[in-house]
Amino acid sequence: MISGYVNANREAIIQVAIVGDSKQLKSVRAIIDTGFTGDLTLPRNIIDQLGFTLRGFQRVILGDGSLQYFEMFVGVVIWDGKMREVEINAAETNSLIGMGLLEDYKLEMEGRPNGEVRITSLPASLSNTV
Amino acid sequence: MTVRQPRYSKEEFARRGDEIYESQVRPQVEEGNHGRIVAIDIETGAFEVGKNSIIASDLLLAHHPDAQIWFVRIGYRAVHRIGYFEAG
Repeated sequence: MISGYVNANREAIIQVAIVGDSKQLKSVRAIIDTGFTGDLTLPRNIIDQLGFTLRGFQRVILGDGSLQYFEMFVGVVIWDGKMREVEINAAETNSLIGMGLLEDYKLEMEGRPNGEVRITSLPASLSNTV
Repeated sequence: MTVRQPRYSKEEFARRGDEIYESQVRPQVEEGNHGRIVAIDIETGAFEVGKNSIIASDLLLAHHPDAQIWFVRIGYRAVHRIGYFEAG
């Protein structure tokens, strides 16, 4: 189980440990954003610190309907106690956890300040194939 | 791990990637792959399809280790949607 909290600004926050290219760990506070369909966004300076390799470019649609190009990196996070390879988009916002990381997990939260956020794994799904 | 440097601007990735996708890739992948990701090498036109961008690009890099990759979500305008953005 992964746990977090809701802050006074109505944001659901969890702390995630990111494993850099030379195995260094960095703890990042990220906002759960169910409107984001990717895995994780990180500011470019953190991506550079962790030494992740650029994998390619993607077109992304923003909340205002505009299209932008985003860099995509592949990195590793510790998720529910295990190392997990994730897609990382460079974005100069707060770090965001998207629906990709939540795949096959259940998200529960208490929608009030200091409310609890709980993310628990779901039974294996048949959709989890290439 | 090799440090891969992009050889093109992001606009050039998009321009070449879209052109290759529309002319060569789309007719081969569109049927039965709605919502899946295609990773395209914008220099050779080589491509692979997968459930997500990591899987598709791992498959492509296995035979094109120097690929310059543009991603497309089959049947969609964008690979991802980000709800949160900073206005202004």
